[in-house]
Amino acid sequence: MIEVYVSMIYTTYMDNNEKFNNQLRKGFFELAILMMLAKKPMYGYELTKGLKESEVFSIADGAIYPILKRLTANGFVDTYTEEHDGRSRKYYKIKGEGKKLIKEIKGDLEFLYNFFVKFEGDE
Amino acid sequence: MKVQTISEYLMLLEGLLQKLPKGDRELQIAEVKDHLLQSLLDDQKSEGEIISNFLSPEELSNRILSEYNELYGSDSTSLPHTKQRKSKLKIALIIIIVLLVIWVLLFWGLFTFNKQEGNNGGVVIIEEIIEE
Repeated sequence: MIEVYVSMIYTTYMDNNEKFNNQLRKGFFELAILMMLAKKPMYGYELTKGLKESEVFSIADGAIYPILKRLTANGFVDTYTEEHDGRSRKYYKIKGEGKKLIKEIKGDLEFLYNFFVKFEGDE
Repeated sequence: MKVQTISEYLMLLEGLLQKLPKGDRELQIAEVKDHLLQSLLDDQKSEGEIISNFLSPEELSNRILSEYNELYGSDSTSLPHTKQRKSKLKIALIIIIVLLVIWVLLFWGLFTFNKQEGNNGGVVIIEEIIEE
């Protein structure tokens, strides 16, 4: 349910105010990444591939790294490296603060959804 | 110049990220390198095709640098690593100054003590030894 609603809000605002859209887009990407990391630790390429599976969150190759930097710097995810085929691979792992943020955003979205649904019959 | 190979891409990106501290820059480059090499393995495409699907070095460096600016301010010297290094230097400098002051005070104390006692200290002893 929430995924459908996120997709609706996202597409509705995509064509409007550019700055607002950028912030909104960043926020939704952060949420999507955190939700993926809540399942298991992942690396940049793996996350990009996962996001590309959804049309709404399709992201250009490489664009995920600045977002991951922000999530790390803000204390929502942690990183560690592992050797893979002779090169080091950086993994991202969700922290308690990240899980808390998912809960908060989900709560906000549910509140918004319920708020709009309340007035649906009045149209 | 159009970038054709992964190594060209990484070299260009590294040059564009010069403002970042060395450690951060190396980590960013290593991460992008891992991404490009994994794409090469999984997608069965040429290096040129992989790179053309990736953000251009200019675009990616712009996004990374603006993210750093948003997080730490526009001055690259205010990045956390640089800040830590600066505060460590400050502490080291304070310790050196304190040690220097103690050293000077000790010598001054010894000198005045010897003067009061009419003792000429080690200098006389050495002179005496030489005379002998």
